Amino acid sequence: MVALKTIIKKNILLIIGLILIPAIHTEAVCNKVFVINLNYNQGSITYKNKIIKCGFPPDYKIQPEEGYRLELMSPEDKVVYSIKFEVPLKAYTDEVNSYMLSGGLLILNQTDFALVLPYYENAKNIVIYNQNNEKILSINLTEEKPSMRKQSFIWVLLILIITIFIMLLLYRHKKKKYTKTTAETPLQRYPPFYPPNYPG
Amino acid sequence: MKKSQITGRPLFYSLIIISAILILTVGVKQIKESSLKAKEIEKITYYTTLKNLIQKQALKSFGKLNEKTIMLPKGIEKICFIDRTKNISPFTNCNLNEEIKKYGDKNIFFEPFNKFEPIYIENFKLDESENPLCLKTFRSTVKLSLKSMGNYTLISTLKPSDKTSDCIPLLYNSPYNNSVDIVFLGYGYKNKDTYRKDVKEYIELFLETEPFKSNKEKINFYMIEDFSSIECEIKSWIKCNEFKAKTLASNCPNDYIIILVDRSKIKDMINPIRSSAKSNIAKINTADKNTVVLHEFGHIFGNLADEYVDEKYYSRINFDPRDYPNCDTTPCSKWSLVPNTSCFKGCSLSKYRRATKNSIMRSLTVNSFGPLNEGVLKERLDLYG
Repeated sequence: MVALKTIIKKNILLIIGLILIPAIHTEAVCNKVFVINLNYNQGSITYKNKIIKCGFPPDYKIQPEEGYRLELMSPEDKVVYSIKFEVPLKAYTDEVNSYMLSGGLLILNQTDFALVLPYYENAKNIVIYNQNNEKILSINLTEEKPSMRKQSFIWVLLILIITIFIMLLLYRHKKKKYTKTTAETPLQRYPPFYPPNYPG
Repeated sequence: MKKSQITGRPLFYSLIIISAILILTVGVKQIKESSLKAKEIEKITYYTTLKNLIQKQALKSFGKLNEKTIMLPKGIEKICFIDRTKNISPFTNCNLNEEIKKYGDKNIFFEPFNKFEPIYIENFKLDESENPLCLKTFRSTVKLSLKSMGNYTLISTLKPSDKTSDCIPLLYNSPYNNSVDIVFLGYGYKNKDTYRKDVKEYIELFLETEPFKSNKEKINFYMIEDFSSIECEIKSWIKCNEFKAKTLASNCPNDYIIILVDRSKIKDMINPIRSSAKSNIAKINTADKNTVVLHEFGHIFGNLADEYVDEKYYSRINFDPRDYPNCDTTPCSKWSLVPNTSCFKGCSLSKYRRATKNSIMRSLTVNSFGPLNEGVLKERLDLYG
């Protein structure tokens, strides 16, 4: 019995191992950037989505004196990268009538905007501060990796649950069958046979 | 039946199930392994053919040109040749840069890079203008132009449309981390040649206009040819999805982005749309006079205000000339020390003043920013280089 248990244990471990092998995947690191999609609406900034891709970030040589501040933070809460930026609420629209210009500036109170930032392997989160140095937004950058692992664990869990469920079903089915057969007497199962000359 | 027999049953069944799963897994693994081996043999055959072709071509008489269609293993989307004896452009294929670093002894790479191992074949070189040379495959084939150069083969393509590049540097004057990097994107173009021609014209315009003319060594121009992912809304003015535009533009160094929106002049006469500027992106209606690109760039690069007067627009917003270097109130003390400037009436609103009678920021009848605006733009250019 103990030997059987060990075999089962070993088998289960082997299955888990086989399932997990494809999930362990290393990706090439290159000139990567974060492209962050944000929304500004009546003074508040919300995070929409982001992508990490191979590319080049702008060098942000021209930054506003006053404006929002974005910081890329390390797991030790150290600033690894920082820029100042303005929310692009000014939209110049110029109508050209032959050579003459007309139109003007639109001041928006809500807009989607994006920032391209250099990728740091150790960056834990992005923090945005407003002009008054108040923290208004924090974007977690580590959430993607665990979610991938979570998925593979969900897979393993699902397979295990299904296996246990099938085992349980089979066990119940067999148990039912067994109790049924033990409850029935041989007489009940086989009707009595009386020879034609049996008295009575 | 004994009690021990009943309790042993689930274990027996579970063992059967686990064994079945194991057999299935091992079976699938075996099938996969043998198919992988077959693929590996296929790859070796293809690579040997390519190697023989390149080496045989090198032995042919000098200058002999040969166009060949090469078969490649299934699944290869692009083949990239690199010549390590020459400068390798970092802009052709961003993901390739890391592969080049990772495999220092290889010179032919296959995309997707994570699925195909790179190889090394000797006796070929590339022209410096196309190093790396990335070619897209068509039904697992690629067309190569092989030219014998005596002791080596010069690889190129006879079909330029087969060449792929994430980013095409058009004028690369200084390192991208210390220069103004302007990247062109397109929208609505049906013909890539028209787009290329337009981009060239706009760049020429930049280089003919001060202060860019005398500071061209601080500016790099790039172009992205595959702009299918861009989303723009053409209503009364051009509005583009900033996230998508910036994602695409990040294939090139991208301090400033110019999106050319292809419009026919006739269509634009019936339904005029406005060129616009927001964030670090200028969106240009190609039906407009081409100097509009300088006007929009003046907004995004120099924070220059409109010097034309549009009371209808500007009286609605809280326009403050203190926020802009080129508008002021009387007596125009902002530019009192700038030579050849004056204090002309009208700068966005008629009550404010501008430095020159006319400039690109006022109308497109002139090709000059004027001394004040040139100074402002030059100051910003001086932050680079």
